[in-house]
Amino acid sequence: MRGWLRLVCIALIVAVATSIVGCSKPEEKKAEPAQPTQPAQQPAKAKDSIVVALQGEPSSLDPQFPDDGNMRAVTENVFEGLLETDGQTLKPKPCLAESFKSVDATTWEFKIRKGVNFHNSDPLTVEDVAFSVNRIVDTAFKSQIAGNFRSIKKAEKVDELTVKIITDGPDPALPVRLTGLKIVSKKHVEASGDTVGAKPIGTGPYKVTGWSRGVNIAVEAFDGYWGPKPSIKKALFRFIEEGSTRLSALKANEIDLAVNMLPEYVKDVPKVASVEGLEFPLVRLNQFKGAMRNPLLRQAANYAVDKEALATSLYGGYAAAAQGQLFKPGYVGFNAELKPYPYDVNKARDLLKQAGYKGEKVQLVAERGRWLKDGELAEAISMMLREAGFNIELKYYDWSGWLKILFDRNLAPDMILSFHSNDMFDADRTFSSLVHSKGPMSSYTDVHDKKIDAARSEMDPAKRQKMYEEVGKAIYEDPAFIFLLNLKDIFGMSKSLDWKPRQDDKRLLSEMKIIQ
Amino acid sequence: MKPESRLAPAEVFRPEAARKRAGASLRRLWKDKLALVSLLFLCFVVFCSVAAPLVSPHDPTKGTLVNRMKPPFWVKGGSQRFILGTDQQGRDVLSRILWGGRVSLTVGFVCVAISGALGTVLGLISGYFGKWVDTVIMRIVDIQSSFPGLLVALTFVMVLGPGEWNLIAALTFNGWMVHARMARGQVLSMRETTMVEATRAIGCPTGHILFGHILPNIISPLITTYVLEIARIIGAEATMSFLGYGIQPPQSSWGLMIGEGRIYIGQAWWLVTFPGVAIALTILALNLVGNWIRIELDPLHRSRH
Amino acid sequence: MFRYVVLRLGYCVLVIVGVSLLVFVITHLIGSPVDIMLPLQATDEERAQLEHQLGLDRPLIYQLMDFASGLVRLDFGLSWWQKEPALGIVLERMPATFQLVVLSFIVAAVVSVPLGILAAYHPGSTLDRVLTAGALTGICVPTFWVGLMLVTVFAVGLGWFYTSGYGTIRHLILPTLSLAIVPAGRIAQIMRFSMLDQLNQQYVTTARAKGLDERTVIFKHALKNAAPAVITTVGVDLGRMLAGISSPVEHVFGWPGFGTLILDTIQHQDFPLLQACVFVVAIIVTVINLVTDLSYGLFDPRIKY
Repeated sequence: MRGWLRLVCIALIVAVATSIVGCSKPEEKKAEPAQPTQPAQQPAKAKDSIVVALQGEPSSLDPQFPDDGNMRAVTENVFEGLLETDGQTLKPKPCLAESFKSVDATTWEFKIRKGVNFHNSDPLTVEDVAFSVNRIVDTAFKSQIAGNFRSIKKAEKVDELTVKIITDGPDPALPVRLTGLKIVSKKHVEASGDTVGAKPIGTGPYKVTGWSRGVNIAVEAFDGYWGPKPSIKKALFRFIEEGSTRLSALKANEIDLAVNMLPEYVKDVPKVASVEGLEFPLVRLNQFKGAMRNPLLRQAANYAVDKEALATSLYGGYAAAAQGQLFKPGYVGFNAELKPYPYDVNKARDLLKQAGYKGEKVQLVAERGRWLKDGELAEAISMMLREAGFNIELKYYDWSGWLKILFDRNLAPDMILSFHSNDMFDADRTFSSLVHSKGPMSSYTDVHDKKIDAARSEMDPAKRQKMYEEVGKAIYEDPAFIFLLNLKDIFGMSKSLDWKPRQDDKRLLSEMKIIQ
Repeated sequence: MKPESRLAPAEVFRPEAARKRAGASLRRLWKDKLALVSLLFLCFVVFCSVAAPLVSPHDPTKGTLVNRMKPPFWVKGGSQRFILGTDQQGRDVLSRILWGGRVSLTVGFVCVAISGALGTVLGLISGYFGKWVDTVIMRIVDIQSSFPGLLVALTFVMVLGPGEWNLIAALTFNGWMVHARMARGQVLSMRETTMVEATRAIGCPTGHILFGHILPNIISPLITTYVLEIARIIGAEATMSFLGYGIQPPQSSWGLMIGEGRIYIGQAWWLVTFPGVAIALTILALNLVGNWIRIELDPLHRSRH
Repeated sequence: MFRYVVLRLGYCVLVIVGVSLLVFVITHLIGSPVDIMLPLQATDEERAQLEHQLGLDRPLIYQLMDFASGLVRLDFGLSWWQKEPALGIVLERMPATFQLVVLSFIVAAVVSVPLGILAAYHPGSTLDRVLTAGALTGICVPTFWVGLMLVTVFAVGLGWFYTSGYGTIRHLILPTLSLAIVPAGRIAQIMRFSMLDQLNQQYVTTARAKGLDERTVIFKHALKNAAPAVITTVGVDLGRMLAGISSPVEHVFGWPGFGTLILDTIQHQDFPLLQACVFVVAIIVTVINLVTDLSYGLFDPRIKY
């Protein structure tokens, strides 16, 4: 009997010991985390790594497939394109291409930079560039960002250092487009097959050293990088869905940068930076099936939403009503004549009656946790729509489920809340994705296709602008969207991080500095 | 005609004796202030839930963003219009608590009604017939008991989707075992009594024995189980709704209110505190009343109290 | 003794298989997961395609055979969400939960066992009444709400601890306290009840009459006899806690353990991962039950296997 008792005691001691040992050492199974900042009591030591909190986990790290902002937060540091956007002027400038020129109306030539290596030490070759371009425009690949590159026909090798890109008609916006086309390694992609989304190999200043699913992604400065060495050597991207958790982590010095700070938290944060943002939340309506086929209902939906209340109360002033379109002044194609649909519940109710709406269930699909207050926005909108008489069923999906639904026309729900960002500042990006019948996110027939295609290759800027304005007006009158808001980006930072957010929402580690 | 009244008196269900016992119980209840307060509180909760449409100052599903996140009226910035403040969509917290109570109590009562009935019947059968029937039923009880409630409920939600009725289905599915065990235990002790033997001897059909004779005698300890189970189910519903898999917005439930208000815990403490207090008090009251009932009905327990 | 253990192990296997089958039945026969995954207006071809992709359109018997053969080989397939072997993912997350739960129970026991004994020793005293009330309150309040309240006061308000995350002792304290409250209440309750029961027994009076000092009476005799009831409670609660009841607290504190894995599994509707989770849970629960049963032999020399 005594023997058994001893055994039990030993077992208990072992359990306690493992608990204490286990909890004082961070999990090793995770990607090697960057050194977390020490709590304030200990002497400050020179730090060269930061922790960034994203709101959600990337669905994949293949920069050519998903339209995933969580992914871009990481891949913008890991991959590069032929051209990149200059942070100040917001115009394209050389990156992997040293120079480029337009040979004729439909052909462009790019000289590839020498001495660039991928993270696996393979050199960057013309074959990689041509492969990357052709992969993204391949309709069989079904890239979710294909809409941005609709004008590109194909890419061909000219010689060891030159590649030519052939467009479908003249495309004045091609250089801007190419800033979003990341170059991948042909050898690596072809060898990886289905797992290419999990093992990213790029040419950027940082390489991915680990991905602990559901927890974090670790990156480290790439020694063989062709450009200037960044000051931050290591970074950890943590996925923290809850805004309050991001805030507490920031205040406790566990993270250095948190995206999407809630307006309510701004006074609580050690350092805050906000900038005019790219995000235009919208609700895409299904024109093909279900109750929203009826244009009167679609207009009613636009009258039913009180955009001012959303901007002032829900977003605490960190947003403004969208001007009846998904652009703002400064974008090519912005139509200054359009004003937001006025908030008029009675008109909405009248339209519903006129349309003969009998209370059929209308499903609003949304996700939570990728954009600022996306879940709450969906709830507020459904409340407003119900007030006007719609029978709304709000259904939330997880991020990858939602992405799938958004980009598959066969799965299109009655209404789906999404956030559109256009880092090209050019109407073609929006119209090609959302309005052109071939657009991955589009809910339109081909009624506007001709005009969009023509505008894309129109070289005269005045004519081009006019064409886009016409499309904008047509969409406004027969909307397949509920136009909502334009959001500001709010970032929370620790006192030791120095960074000015960019207007194109690129969060580049190489532009961040640690100050002691 | 009542043949039982000519049989062994101590084990027989006699209405007159029951009435006398009830009177004594009520007197003891009056003396035990804690149980009395709990019972009154429960009555209050039930009343509020039933009368929610009349008592509630606002519509719990409607709110305007302009009124968002107003504090309770005694805090600066609050108003008498929204006594306990408003939530992140501008809805009145008090109204949502009243209506939320409705949902929680409904789920609790319905689940226990169904699982209690089912479990009791199975327990009766298992205890009375014994042998392989008993073995089979008890083995099923054991296996299902090894499967913890939260996981079962989440599995149901995964295949059926979240929602009030799916939640009730899930909680009922995993709630019958405890009633079966209790009933069986009670039946085992009753089975060999003279009364049962006698009713069998006079040719009473088994169904009548089970439901007409045994059940009324064992119902008292089972009532304790029912009450405690209602408390447990209310807690389970709160947890599921908190996690987002129970009651869905725009309906309100106490757990859901806590789940939704979480992110504003530093700015709007009232969103999380009041629903939590409601849950805690209701479950506590149910437990106190349940314990009191148990002590009442078991004279042995009473002396130990 | 040996025979008993072998029999019990056989029974354990039966339970594990039974539970896994139960989940298989629930997920394949009740409701349509495909309908949950797709929105209202999805076309029928999409539905059919998804069903085919997930292997749900094959005859049920083939799916069952696949599942059974996988179960035997401990191969649950690849997680749909993470594209890695499901069992591996589950096992990777268990240590974090294990650590949290075991520590909570140790804290709970260390606090509540002495208090329970003390309360039993002075029945009816103020201490006793306070303890009973406290224990009951501990059992009744929802753990996730307690966690949130602790966060508000100690992490947000006073800044002493971290609000979430994993890795240091400062991360561990608040979740441990939140999880420890219910077990502490239950253990205190049952310890008190059990000890009271024992102290009222004949043998205690005899022992005292014999002249044994109080300490020996309490610890060497009464406690040993009171222990089985407490151990059962601890065993049951520990099993349930490791099997997912820790989910809400893990969710509140962002603790990367088994509890949050279950929630993620449900959110991603990942069937293979769910099966793996259930399997692991079944094993844990049955093993703990077995250990609990065997431990009775430690305390009661009369029990012979």
